[in-house]
Amino acid sequence: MELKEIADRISEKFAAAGHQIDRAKLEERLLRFVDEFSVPPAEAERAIISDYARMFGMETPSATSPKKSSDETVPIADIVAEQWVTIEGQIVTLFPSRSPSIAQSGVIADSSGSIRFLIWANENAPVVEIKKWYRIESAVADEYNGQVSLKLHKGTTITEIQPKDAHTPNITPISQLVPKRWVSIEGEVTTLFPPRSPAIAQSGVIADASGTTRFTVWASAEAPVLERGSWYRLDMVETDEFNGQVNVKIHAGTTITPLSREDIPKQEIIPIGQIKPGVFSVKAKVVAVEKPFSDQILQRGILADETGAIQFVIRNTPDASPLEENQWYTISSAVVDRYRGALSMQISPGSATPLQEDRSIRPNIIPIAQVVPGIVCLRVKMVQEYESSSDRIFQSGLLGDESGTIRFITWNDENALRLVPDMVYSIFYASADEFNNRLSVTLNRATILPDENATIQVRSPNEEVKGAFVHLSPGSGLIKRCPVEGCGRVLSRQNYCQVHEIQPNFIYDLRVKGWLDDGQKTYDTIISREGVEELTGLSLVSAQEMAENNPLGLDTVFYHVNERILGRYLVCRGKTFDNRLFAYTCEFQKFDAGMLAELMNRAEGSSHE
Amino acid sequence: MSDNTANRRFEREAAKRVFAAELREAYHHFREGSDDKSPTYILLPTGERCNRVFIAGTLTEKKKSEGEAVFYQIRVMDPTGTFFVSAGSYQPEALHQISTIESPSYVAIIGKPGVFQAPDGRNLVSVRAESITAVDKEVVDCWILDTARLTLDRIEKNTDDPDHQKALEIYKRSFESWRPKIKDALASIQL
Repeated sequence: MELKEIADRISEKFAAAGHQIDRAKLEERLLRFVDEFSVPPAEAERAIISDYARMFGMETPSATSPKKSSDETVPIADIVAEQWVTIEGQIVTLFPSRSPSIAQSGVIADSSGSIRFLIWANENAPVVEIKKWYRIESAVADEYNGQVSLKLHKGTTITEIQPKDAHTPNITPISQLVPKRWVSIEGEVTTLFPPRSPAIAQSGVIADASGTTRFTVWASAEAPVLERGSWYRLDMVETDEFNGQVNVKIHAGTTITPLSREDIPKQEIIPIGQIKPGVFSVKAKVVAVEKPFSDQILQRGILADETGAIQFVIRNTPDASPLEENQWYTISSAVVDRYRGALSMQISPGSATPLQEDRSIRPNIIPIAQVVPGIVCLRVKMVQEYESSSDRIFQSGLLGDESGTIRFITWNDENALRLVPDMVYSIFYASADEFNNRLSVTLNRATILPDENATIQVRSPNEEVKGAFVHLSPGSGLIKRCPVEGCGRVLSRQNYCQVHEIQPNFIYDLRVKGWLDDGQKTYDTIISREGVEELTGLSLVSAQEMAENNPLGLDTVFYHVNERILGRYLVCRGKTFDNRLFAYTCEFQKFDAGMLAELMNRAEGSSHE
Repeated sequence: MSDNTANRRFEREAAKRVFAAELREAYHHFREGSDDKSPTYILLPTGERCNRVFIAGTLTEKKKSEGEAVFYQIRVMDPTGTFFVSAGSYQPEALHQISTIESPSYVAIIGKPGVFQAPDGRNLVSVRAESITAVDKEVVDCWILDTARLTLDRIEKNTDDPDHQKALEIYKRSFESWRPKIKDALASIQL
């Protein structure tokens, strides 16, 4: 329907200039742009107009986007930049004016959300008042620094209206905060930092069951003092970003409501395997405790349930008491954060309740390929022992299972256990760390049980590189190799081998030489015959026929290969050596819907992960 | 630094994945080293230098300028905006390839980005294509995923990186503010 309008517009435009356009062709072309290639209609119109203009030798008209103005009110949450909108909302905050050209600025909210607004100074701009409701017609939404705001100018009408449903903002989980928004959050103040500036009344960390964030209370907010360990509901906080982390700002417009014990969202017991930074309650067994090695820390150890294990820390405060090994506890509202990639739980005094329970846990053994920093249980074969590089290291080497391999290290201490090559071990509660982007497990505190009768088929370290094929080098396609035994060098066009000179009885082969690029690193790549056959559908025989029946000879095969693989995403398996890749098998990368879902989540933005 | 550049000689710079919306806002460019052959980079607003890009999308328009030398200008759309791509006689491969592709078509392009000043003083980023191939929709969708992932990697990267810091100083735009564009791009994929 819309396409018909566009088609009308285009044919009228050219008819006015005396050119007739084939209507069927035009519509088909429009449809092709919009339906088949999902080009936005406006862009399709622009592209087609300039094509015809070129055809008729006319000046290319400059594109003007039609000004949209509608009387329908838009929910504030749906406003996007570069739009004319009409809204109805309540003024929730007003900021002091910073420039004579700005009459007023602040935040306006409806039941869907809130947005910053700005009223340019002009003679007939009415004065808006806080808490009152207004209908605002023809305001312009624009974007600055990623934040959408409303500009109210001369052409905008502002009328006061009857209050509507009060703005009851939904609580946003802390892990879902994104910068430059006005939101309500609820959580526990877990940390307070010493004040740094007279402009800041307080700063610290607030946490809910989904995550943690830093907060700042401006001195100008004249807000009540927040206390550590207490829960608050904060309405109309502004989210911001610093060093890649989202934080929240509490200013004069923020409403702070302390929550009493009953109001605090009752926390469900969460399986340890699902914990991420935030505040959580768990039911778990102390599977290991460690001697403290500093005055500030009373105890460190490991808590586990059937789904996983986590390191815990108890700070040395006057009312703190240590946990007992092998005892089950319910731990309520403990703060979890990430330290060097691994999660760690802080247990505050009084939050751990011992349970009358004496179950043993079946530890959750995971494949090496799924190891992330933290506490892990593995079943592995000792694959290789490395020569020790320091006398602090008792033993180091490589462990393997069906999914891959990982380094291990055991530091020198009285309980250190030496692993025997080729023996299979069950390893419980080892800590996995990441160093220089490489994972390794430390075995010192782990429980290690050998299994003399077991064997494991360790996955060979055949590597997989995914990337775009960005350049095909000469010497690709159908090539000739030196037939001398043990040589196999690629011959020049004149059948010349660097070592064995002219070789008229050469052997044909297929290969690809070029660059595979994953966006971070570029691999000097050689794909052997099998891989080339998989990618191009050519076989050695069909490639030979192609070369022999075509005047371009070998070049035909080169162009054919180039057309098939250049600019495509490939998955190659083989060996890598620095930036060289020798690939034996290759395929075209398939669209991965799971990856799409994962990226959608990641783009939602939890910068605490 | 010196052995760094020596090592680099044997490596090819990775082609950065960048959405049209981000590339459009880049304007800071610089040359690493002082001799004529040293590579020139543009600094992406998400804080990485780039001297080659890999982009994919829909070719919507193709314009051939018939002067003394043949020269093509094309527009390529991704879900976030438009790339301006050109190829001239110094890019014979791309020139040849473009001549056989009609609009609209899905294309993948490898090329070098450059910043140009428009007559009205605005900065324009355009990509000089080294090669361009007609591809199917799946390649474009894979590219959107890949570009979303690498853009997220850039904005979530450790901020100690000097290019990261420089981008913040120059573009004065928070990395987080790119998230909505990434989301838009991902949401455009029709399964």
